[in-house]
Amino acid sequence: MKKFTEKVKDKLIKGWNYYDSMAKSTMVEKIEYELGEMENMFGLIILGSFVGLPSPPMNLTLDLLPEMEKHFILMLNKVDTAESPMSDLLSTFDVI
Amino acid sequence: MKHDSKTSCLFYLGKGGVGKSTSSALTALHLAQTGNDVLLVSMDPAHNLSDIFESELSEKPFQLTENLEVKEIDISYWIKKYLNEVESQIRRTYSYLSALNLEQYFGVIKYSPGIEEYALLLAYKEILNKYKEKDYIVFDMPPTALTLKFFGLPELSLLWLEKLLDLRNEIIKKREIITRVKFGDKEIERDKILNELNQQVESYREVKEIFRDKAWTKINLVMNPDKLSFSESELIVKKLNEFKFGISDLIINKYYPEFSYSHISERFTFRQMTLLPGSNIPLIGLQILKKYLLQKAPFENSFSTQDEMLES
Repeated sequence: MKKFTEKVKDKLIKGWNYYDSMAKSTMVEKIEYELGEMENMFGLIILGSFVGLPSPPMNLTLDLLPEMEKHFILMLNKVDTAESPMSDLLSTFDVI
Repeated sequence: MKHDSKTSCLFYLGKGGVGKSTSSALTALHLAQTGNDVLLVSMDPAHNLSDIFESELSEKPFQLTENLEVKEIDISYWIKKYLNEVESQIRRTYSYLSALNLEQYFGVIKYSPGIEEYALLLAYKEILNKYKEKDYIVFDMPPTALTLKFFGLPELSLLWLEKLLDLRNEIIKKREIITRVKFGDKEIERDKILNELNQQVESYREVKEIFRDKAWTKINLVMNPDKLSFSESELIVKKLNEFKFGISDLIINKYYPEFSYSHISERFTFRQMTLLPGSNIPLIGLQILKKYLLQKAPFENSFSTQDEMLES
């Protein structure tokens, strides 16, 4: 009897952990997507002058630039693929 | 930064050609003659002070009289210095390949709007640090547009920084949630961008406080007794009031006794008025300026707006 209850308990815990990790990964995926978009927005606000968008005073951009390599490269890549959205989409899905 | 030094900064601004350089030169000379240690700085790219004192001026202070040093700010030097600093910082933090492509951008940035006033602000901050022992630092300012941008830059930058800080904090909050779910209580690396933003906020707040501290900063407006310079002066006062700056001394250059100035105090407020009577000969050369001060004694006759009201 004790063994049986232990088994049921283990199954329940496993089931709960499985459900928990599923829920967490869906939640994390959503937040990660949101975070990525926010980072893009932040990059675009500060580095907009490089691609012809209105931006904060140039001194703020330049003072933050040394810490924004990731944003800078990402933004320049986005500009490169802006004229061919299809190739951007295909590269996102890693088709070719 | 607290006002622990004894230095007062006097800024001379006004419409082009009203006599900002002459007024600032006369004031600096008067202050030096009355026993103060004075530095006169030309922030105006036209650099009229070299002509007024008939001397070759540069970034290196020139000892004009016993108590008076004069220097000129070279804006292009400050822009170059600033861009070089940013570029070398980027080369330290970026990977080799991305830093390689930056040169083409930096070539264009030096002509970007906003760089000139920032270069002036950097020069101003260095002067403030370097010449703490002076009694007075007198600034001959550039034409109106650049001067107003210079005074507005800390406020404008702070407005942007506040919004950027909000967005950055939101990003960090989201990143913390993800890290906690994925890796538990693992320590999160400090956000370098947030640090930089906070440092910027502190630095601009400091300058903003200095500009608003009336013991430290005195903004003196120069105008001629004519309609055009009066209209532009009104505009300058209005713009400065938007940044919550007031006028300390209103200087009427080339003043003649028939000119009635009573209407000016009705249009905008200032704490003191100085009348610089017109001169028959051009005010060029140290000896002529000294003679003018001796004969006309304009600063001995400065009066506050309250005195005038009492008299009337």
